[in-house]
Amino acid sequence: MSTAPSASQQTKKSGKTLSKYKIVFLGEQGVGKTSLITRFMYDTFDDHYQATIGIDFLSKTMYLDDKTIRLQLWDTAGQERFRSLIPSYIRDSRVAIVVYDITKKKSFDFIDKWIEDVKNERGEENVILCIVGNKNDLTDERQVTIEEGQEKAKKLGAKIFMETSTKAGYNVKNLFKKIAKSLPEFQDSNSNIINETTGAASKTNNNAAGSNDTSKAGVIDISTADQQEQSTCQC
Amino acid sequence: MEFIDYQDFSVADTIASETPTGDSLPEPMQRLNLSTYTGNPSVSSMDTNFKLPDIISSDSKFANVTLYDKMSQYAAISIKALNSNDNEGKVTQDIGHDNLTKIPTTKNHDSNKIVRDLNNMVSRSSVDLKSLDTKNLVLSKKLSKILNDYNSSNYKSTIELKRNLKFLEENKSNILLDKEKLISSEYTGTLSRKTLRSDIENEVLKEHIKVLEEFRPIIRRMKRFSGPLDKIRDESRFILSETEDQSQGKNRNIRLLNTIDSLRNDMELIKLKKKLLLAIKEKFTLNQVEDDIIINGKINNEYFDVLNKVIKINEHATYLLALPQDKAGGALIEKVNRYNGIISKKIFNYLMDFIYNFESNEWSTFDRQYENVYNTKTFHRALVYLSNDLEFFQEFINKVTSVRSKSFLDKFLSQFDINKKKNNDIKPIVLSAHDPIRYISDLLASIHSLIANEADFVKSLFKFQYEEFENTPKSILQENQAEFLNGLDIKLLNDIVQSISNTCRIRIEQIIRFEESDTINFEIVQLLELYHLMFVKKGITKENELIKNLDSLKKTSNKKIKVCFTKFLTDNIKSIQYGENSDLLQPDWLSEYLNKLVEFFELYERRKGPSSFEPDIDDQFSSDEGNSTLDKKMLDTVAKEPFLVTLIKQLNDAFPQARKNEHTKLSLLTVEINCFDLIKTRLQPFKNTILKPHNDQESIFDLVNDKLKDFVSQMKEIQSKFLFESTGLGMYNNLFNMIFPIDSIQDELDYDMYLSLNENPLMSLSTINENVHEKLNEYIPQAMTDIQEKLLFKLTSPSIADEISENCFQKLSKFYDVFQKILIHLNPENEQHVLEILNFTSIEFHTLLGLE
Repeated sequence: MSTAPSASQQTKKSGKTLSKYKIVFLGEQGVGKTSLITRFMYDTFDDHYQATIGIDFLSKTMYLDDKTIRLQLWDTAGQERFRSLIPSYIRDSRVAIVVYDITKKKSFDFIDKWIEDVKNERGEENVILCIVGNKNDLTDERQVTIEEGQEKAKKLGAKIFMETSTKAGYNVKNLFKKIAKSLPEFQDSNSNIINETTGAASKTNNNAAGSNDTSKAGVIDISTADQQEQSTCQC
Repeated sequence: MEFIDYQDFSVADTIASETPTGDSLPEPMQRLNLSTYTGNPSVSSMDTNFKLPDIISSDSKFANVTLYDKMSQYAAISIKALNSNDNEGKVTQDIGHDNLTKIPTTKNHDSNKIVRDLNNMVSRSSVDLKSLDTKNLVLSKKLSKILNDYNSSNYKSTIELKRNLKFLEENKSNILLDKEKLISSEYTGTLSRKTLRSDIENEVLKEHIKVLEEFRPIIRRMKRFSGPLDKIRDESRFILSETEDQSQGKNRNIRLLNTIDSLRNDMELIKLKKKLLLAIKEKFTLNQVEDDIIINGKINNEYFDVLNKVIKINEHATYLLALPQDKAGGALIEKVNRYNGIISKKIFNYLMDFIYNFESNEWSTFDRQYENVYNTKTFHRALVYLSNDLEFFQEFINKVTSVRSKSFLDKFLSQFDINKKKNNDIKPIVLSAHDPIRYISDLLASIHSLIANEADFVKSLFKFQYEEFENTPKSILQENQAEFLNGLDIKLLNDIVQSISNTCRIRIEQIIRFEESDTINFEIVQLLELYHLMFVKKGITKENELIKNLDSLKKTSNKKIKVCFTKFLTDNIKSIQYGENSDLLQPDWLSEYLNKLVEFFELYERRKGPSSFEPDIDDQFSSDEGNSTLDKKMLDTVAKEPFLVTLIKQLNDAFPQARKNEHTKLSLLTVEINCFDLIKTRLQPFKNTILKPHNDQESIFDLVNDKLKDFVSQMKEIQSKFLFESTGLGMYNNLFNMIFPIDSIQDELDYDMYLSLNENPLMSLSTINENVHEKLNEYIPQAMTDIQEKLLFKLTSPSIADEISENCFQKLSKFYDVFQKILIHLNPENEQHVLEILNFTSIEFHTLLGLE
């Protein structure tokens, strides 16, 4: 699998590198793409829904296993009228995160379309596909089971499947940690990471959010030991 | 010499004894340096040979008895006395005489007393001697003889002798005199007496040496004072002599004292000056090390410390300019400016190195490793300092802008490079013939991506404006030109991004220019609007060329949409001909045009969303005139003029005889109603969105509706006319309406209005019967069929046809009813005849016309 970043995106010098990876968030309107990014970036959650207009951009530096990577997060609008823009952003994305709402079957059904769009743009090989079932805290309203999600991820060739709760702060940092470890930057030392990440989300109920988050401004250190993510809820 | 010193010391001690601590030795005094004082020109340089000052001789008070004086005198006397004791009478007398002559006369009284005491002592001794052995008698007698050998000449010496002997007696324990031995007449006695002198001398000398040894350091110190004292003495003599000599001595003395005061003041001033100059030196100058650091040092914290000093010197130097003599301030500022020039250049070079290294290594942001090579904190600090020098700072900004702009443009253009490295999995942006929207979308998305990256970089580069560095004075720019620094990152970002504005414009413009589809142009407008919004959100200002170009492209695209519609009309509107058997349908172009317009409106509504047509949005919508796709002008062009102007004109041209011929007019109205009914139907969905009225103006939809109503109304008129004429009631209808409108009749009393008609020959029943009866009976049964199937058959809208026919029939029915009643009212005696002429009852008439 040729997922090596382009020369313009990665610069190597004396062992330490800073690579930039473009991650695009896809999914139907209201599934929680923006809140997933907000939880990852600022560890906050806003109950008030506000639709994204066009495409939003945020970047974050991650420090993991003595390597620094910069994630560029492209948050797309789920509204129909902005759909035409999205392929242009998938075009040069390294990672595509397709988000669905576990309480809305329709949003789950549309995953196929999103994955198809990604494959059309990036091909089968050149992108890391992630499927994320959000709103995991709303168990009473669940319409899509974890097994269904896993099955779909397997069927569509997604390397990472995970259920998250942006409201409860569950599994969010773990998701990004797994994404980071799936990147070519970490492939040499973490060859088994893909197999691990395709496992059941319920079993990977861990969190990389540690108290070390604040040790370096603008950098998330996710090299700390995993812990229960629910405990980090700041809602 | 030593003895003279001793005397000298005694003088000093006398002075010292006058102090409260008289017993203590005088403390060494601070040397008074009078070497520079030349009050007495006769005083030459200090005599190195020590000379005891001759103070005693010059001052009578020093003749007073002092301890040391006494000691010296007593010592001398005692030695002399001993000599006299030791020697024979004559010798003793001589010595005593000699010594006595040397004794100061002021001491005579004391000397006599001593002699008396000595005599007493001797006489007491003689009494005692009697009790001694006879062997002592001889000596006693001899001694008595000597002692009693009194004469006036040696009296004094005798007294002295006595005194000395008494002294010996008193101190016999100290000098260990063996009295027995001394007075022994034996040889041992003689021997001891002979050695007495030397013993006493030794003792005395010992004591003297002891005392003198003690005084030695004091004397040594005093010698040091001798020179200055000499000088003081000379000066005092000089001053005194001057004072005495001059008649105005007193004044001169005052002048002299004033001179001394002024000199002292001068001295104080000089001291102050020195202090001041040292302070100034510290505050206003750099030392050699600092100077070297500024010129040859590396940009680091040490350099910044020196720089801080330079800034402080600069600040202090400005205060100097406020002085009346601003020369120093000017000179200092000039020097500091020279330093500042060097510093600015050095920092500028450092910063440029930083930027060039950054560029050459393609660092995407300030990461850890980059910080190792170039400390970003140092970079930011250097930038703060450089901001003091506006010229260099601006130059740096320009350089950064230029370097980054080039890089930005290169990155943008590389997106279109189809020969990019094969291992790059990102597809280049290629214009596809079937998808120009995707091309523009990719292009704008890549710009968006580049702007996001650049904003990230620039933000990290210029975050110093929000930082506070320790021990760093806030730069002048930061303090005074906050506006300049505030948003500097945004300004720089805008300048950098501007570099691609033309390339971007050209690439999008070529799509727009060749794009003939109004919907694709509208999609382009939508993209441009959205990216305008997103670019502005990323910090690109509305004044930026890129944004201006997007706006200009949007306008171009909007114009292109308009052109698409107008071109369609121009291409498709051709003169049409409606034959007699024509269906009187709308022209072909109208349907197509409406399809096109509706499709566009639907797309517009879909893209804009329902919220964009809400009242508050509507204000923005109207204020954004010229920038919005469907502004009033555009709507007039695409939705008003083609229908209300072009179409009507075309139809009028198609029926040139319409004004003259009512049948032609009827056909024209039929076509017009057909057309406007279609227009109204198609535009109906946009009545409350795109076509809703703005600023209390009548909307296009209302105008179309009004026009349709107008045509229908005209149609009603003509159809009614035809109907009345067909039934023979037309003439009477006109006649009645001329007298009093039929529609205004409310009750039977109004029928009287028509009484005047009795005189009209047309109103005779026979005439009416001739004109109406037959026609009415022939036409009424087929009226409904005739109207609906012949006259209104060509109206495509059945509802309009129904409306017209119903309206006409109602009119006819009403008139028939009124006509019948008025005729009966006018001819009450011929009611039956009237009923025969107008043989249908109202109900029958209604039924025949299909009215309810």
